Order: sequence, then structure tokens, then C-alpha cells
Amino acid sequence: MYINRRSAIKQLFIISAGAAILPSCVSNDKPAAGTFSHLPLTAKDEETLAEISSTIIPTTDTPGAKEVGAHLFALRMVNDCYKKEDRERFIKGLRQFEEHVKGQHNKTYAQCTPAEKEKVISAAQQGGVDDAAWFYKTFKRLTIQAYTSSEYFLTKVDVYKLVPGKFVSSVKV
Amino acid sequence: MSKTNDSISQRTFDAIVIGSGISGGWAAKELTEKGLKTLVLERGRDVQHLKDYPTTNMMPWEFEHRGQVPLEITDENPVVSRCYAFREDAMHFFVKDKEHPYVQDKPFDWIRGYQVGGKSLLWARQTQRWSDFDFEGPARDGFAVDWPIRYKDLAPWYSHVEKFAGIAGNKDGLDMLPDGEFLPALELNDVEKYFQGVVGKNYKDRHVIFGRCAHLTEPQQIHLDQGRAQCQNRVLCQRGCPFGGYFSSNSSTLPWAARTGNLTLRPDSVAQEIIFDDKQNKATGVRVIDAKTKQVIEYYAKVIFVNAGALNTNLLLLNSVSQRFPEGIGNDSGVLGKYVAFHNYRARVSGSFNDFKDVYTEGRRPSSAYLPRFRNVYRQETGFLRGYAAGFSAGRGTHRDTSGFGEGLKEQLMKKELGGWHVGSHMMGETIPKESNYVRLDKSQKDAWGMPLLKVNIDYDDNDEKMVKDYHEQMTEMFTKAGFTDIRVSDSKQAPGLDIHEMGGARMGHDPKTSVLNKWNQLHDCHNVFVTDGACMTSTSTQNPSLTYMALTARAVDYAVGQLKKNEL
Repeated sequence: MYINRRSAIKQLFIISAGAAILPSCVSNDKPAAGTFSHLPLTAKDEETLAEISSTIIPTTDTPGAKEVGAHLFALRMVNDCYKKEDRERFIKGLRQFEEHVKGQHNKTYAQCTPAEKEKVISAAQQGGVDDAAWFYKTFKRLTIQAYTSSEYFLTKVDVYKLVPGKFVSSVKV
Repeated sequence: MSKTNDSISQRTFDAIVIGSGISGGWAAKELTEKGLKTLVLERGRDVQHLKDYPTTNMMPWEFEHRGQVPLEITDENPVVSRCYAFREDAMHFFVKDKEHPYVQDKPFDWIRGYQVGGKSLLWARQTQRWSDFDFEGPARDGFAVDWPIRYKDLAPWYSHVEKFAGIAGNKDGLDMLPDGEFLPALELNDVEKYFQGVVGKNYKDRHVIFGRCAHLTEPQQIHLDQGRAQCQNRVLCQRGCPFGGYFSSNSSTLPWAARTGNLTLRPDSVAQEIIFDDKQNKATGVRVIDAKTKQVIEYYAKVIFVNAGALNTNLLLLNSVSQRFPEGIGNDSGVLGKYVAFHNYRARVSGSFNDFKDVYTEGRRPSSAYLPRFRNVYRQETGFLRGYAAGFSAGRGTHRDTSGFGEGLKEQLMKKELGGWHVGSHMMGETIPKESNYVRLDKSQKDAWGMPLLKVNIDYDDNDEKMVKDYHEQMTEMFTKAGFTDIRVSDSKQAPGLDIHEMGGARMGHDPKTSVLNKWNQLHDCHNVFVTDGACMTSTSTQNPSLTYMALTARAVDYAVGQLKKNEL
């Protein structure tokens, strides 16, 4: 069972890497692949989330949120580990977020220019009491968790040692 | 009776051990080493060392939910989900609530591990010896019944099991926590050493030490012979250790027993009852139902060790009825199932320390500091009976600045900043065994294997409440003297059971009228049945109990085999 889960996760990374290489994937309003059974998401929603995650932690000369599939991890967590009312709020907040973008820029988040995206996220960073603000805060936290616990991060940035060997009880700063 | 073709002789052994957890594994090792053909019955599935640790080498990112248990599982399993170790990496070693129901007359979180090795895969590996302050407790303070043994009876057996299991610790020279056969101890960090100094200076009877624990800090030949290697400080013990760095039945006693050629291990075997023969006036075997096929099979032996885990041992004994024992085998006294006790783990104290900014620690460490009981040790001096031990640890957190977004945030995430020191302590309180804390059978409800459900009626009392208050006060005082700040006390109010230290029900004692077992862990009323798991405990003391179960088991086997040789069983 765990072997399967492991290979499933590896596949997720491959899929997300593919999405990064081919940013012009066909987008549509059809329901998403259906792996998130508690979340009524379209493929377009998933694209929006991938784009938001990429604005939060962009790809530079090093991998960003997109390359580690951060939005898929976020959705996995919301789908599997969040209470029903929080899942609903997440979706409601996402819709509200998209409406704000539409109202301001008359296009979807994915269609926005980098400058427009920065403007949208800057505003979201200010917080607020509506569902969109809650959605953004939650999604940002999960994006950061995904990134800092990803294989990339834990092998290249902050190396996780499965077998640390020695414990050193006193190290000078 | 089953209609199996195997003959009675194929189902006859010298000894049967019911349960393969921490004490059953020891019974198996000792019996097989002494040449007895031994059948070990385990109600759960087989878990073989290394082979059956599916998550042991998984990296953090390989866990779909990074360790968190999905809501669907926690919703379905509210009891086991409250256990700190029930996480994505080890949840396959825990019994799910619905699989094995029980009746809670009062809230009781019964945490179980039905598999070969039982909870020895999952335990917290703390191994403190008892002293005579513990064994003499009931007699001195007038509760329960007098223990029929004293420290000197168990001391050589503590040494025996410590040498084999591998216990790390310092010779601290404390009256209330006797020294043992130790491998090098793990190390306190700077703040823990500082706290040790503060406590030592301010209180002549309070000691901060490194807790003795079952980790191979420096494996000896006997450990290498078991195929075990040095603890690598992975601190992923609950997954099963690929190095055998900590002691478990799976890594140590069971493979050792298997190597003698005298072990037959039968997983998926639910013991229904111990068979008592009125003519021979002794137990002749165990009736088992195969967990998978539901086939009923009888196994026979000269001596039976019951190591099913404290409450399940009570269930099995109560369910073993015969003409001679209508209320359960060995229960002439009517005490069986009563005087169950546990450890009170409700209270915690935490704080911060705005000093020692120039040092930190590197790597991980699988155990922490320990304060042995200091209340009412030499004499009664408080308004409550007995006392508590405490765990203590200090650690320096790290954090990343998660403000903002974009390239700025990304750069921040690359940098890990050292935070301040945090200190924390938890209480391990002795609880008083009482007749009103009991388990019994619910004869109206049976599980999928035809066993009556266990009804559990166990609660805290006023003594426990007073102890929580005292622990909060005393630890706050010690933290204050140390200059710790932001001191917070908490009381989880968790139900009994979550401590996973349930004990008693088949207590040891001198008098067959008031106890179930004698000083050799032998049923007073049926001499070829021995109980050496938590069910045998007359009182609980404050020390984590597993080491004492191990020592009692090895001692009881030595006695049983001696008696067998003399044809006295």
C-alpha cells in the first residue's frame, strides 16, 4: 500500500513537472481529473491555483512552487485533512478570489500579466475578513509547507538526514 | 473442536505464551532458551523485523499528507487518533476503533497494537527500575495489598533483561531509582544541564538525570549477536528500526527465540480461553480461534504464560470459565478485573528561556531528561498519597520568515533562523488501584471472534487531582528558579488509557483471598498459569512499567522451568 502511495506521489511530481514545461496546456471548464473527491474543481481552477502558488514562490534559477507541485499538495491536504466547512470555505474563497480578479482585470488569474498578478497577490497579502482572504492565507500556508517539505527542498536546500548518526548536545553558534 | 487432521501431539507443546508484545517476547526467549518447545500465540498479523516496516525508510516528502492523518480516518477512529504516535508513518501498527470495539462505562482510551511485537514496536522506550520505595508503597501507605516481592527479588532480573535489551543510562546513585547495567547515556544539552544544576542546588532531594532508555548507544557482543546495531538517532522509532537500535520483541527476543529451534509462532490466533481440566486440576491448554478462517483449534502445554496486554489478559482470564472456575480462571478471590490503575499523564508545564543564545544542538535525540519522584519518598509529607515523576526537555526551535511573497519570500525560505530555547515537562503520576476501577465482561455483546466485549470502568480520583495541582506548582517553582519565562501550565484532562500504562486486574499478593497471583506471578489457584504482563501489577509507581514486566517475566520463567523439572507443575 505504501509502495503504491510512493509511486503515486512520484507520478504527481512528474505530472507537475510536465505542467511546468508545457505551460500552455489546454485549459477548460471540465471537472479536474477527479483525484480530489471532496472538492468541486475544474481543470481551470487547478491552473489558477498553480499560477497563484507560482506567484507566491516563483520559479527563478531554482525550482519554485510549480516544480514541486505545491498546489496539488495543497489540494490533497484540503481534500483529505480539512473539515467539510473548511473545504467549502476554501472553494468559496477561491471563487471569490477569481471574481475579484475578473472585476479588476477582466480576465482570469492565469491570463494576467506578471505585473497584474503581483498586484492581485499584493492586495491579497493585506488580509481581510472575507472568504477570499481566508482562502489565500490557507493556500499560501500550504504552498509554503509543500515547498519546504518537498524533495527538492529537503535534498538541495535544507538537507534532511534520514540517518543522522550523531547527536551533538552543544554546538557554538 | 476443530476437525483438523493434525493430531493432538502436533498441537502439544511444552509451553504456550499468549501474546508476543514486550513481555510475551521475553517469555518466548527465556522458555525456548531453556529448551522448552514453545508456542507463541499472537492475535494480530505477523510483523517481521525489517521486512514488515513499510515506512521505515520513507522520506518526509514521500508521505502524502506529510505525516498528518486524513480526516476520514480520525473521524472513524476518535480513540486511537488521540494517541501522539498515531500518525501517517505508524498508523498501520495501531488497532482501529471499529475493528475491536469495547464498552466504555467511563471514558477510557484503549490504545492497542495487535500484531507480532504488539506495542513493543511503538513504545516510548523509557526503562527506569523500581526501588523499594515503590514495592513497599502499598504496605506503607495502606492501599491495595502488599507486594509479595521486594527490590532484591527483582534486582538480578533487572540486570538480566537490561544486559540483553541494551539500556542507555548513567549511574546516578539515587535511592529512588536504582542504577542498572547501562550502556553510555544519551547527553543532556546545555539548557538541560543548567536546569539540572539549578534543581540540584535548590532542592537536595530532587534530581534531573537523563532518562534510562532502551537504545543501543554502544552495542555489545550480545546485541550484535541479535543482529542489532547502534542507534543512529533517527528518532523514527515508531516505524520499526532498520538498525534494531531500540529494543522491541521483533528486533530482539522473538528472532532470538526462533534461533533456538524451539519456537513456533502463530499469528492471527485469538486466544478465547484457557482450558482447565477438572480431573487434573490444572490448565491443559488454550482454545484459539483463527482470526482469518474463524476455525477453532486447541493447543496443549504443561505451562501457560499469559502476556496478552494488561486488559486483554483480564478479558481472557475472565472468559476462561469452567466448573471449577465459574467466574474466570484463578478468580476464587473475586478480585480478578478489579484494582486496575494507570499513570496520570494529564499535566504539562512549558516555558521559554532567554539565555544560552550562543549554543544549540545538532541532530536528533530519541529520549530526554527525567526527574524521579521526589514527593512522599522517604515519608508522607503532602496532602496526597504517592507522587509523580516528570519528563523534561529543552530545545531550540528554528523558524523561517514566511511574510510577503515572490522572490523575497523565496529567499527568506532558504534561510533557517535559530529561535529561542523552549522548555517543557510532563507529569507521570502514580494512581492508586481501587476496587471501583475495574474491567468486566459484557456478556450481551460479542466481537467478530466470539469474545465478549470488555466493559471498562476506570476513572481519576481526588488524589490524582491534587497531584496535578502539586506538579503544576512544583514545576512552576523550579522553572521560576531557573529563570524560565512565559511559564504555562496545562491539564489535558485526557481520559485514562491514553497513558498506555494500564495495569492490574490480576494483581500479585501474598493472600489468595485478596490477590490473583502469587510472588512468582503464578495464579494462586492454578499453578501452571503465569501472568507476567501489566495485569500482574499490584501498584503502579511512577516509572514506565515495561522494564519491570520484562524482569518479572524472566524471573517467572526461571521459576516455572525449575518447577517443571521437579514435576511440581
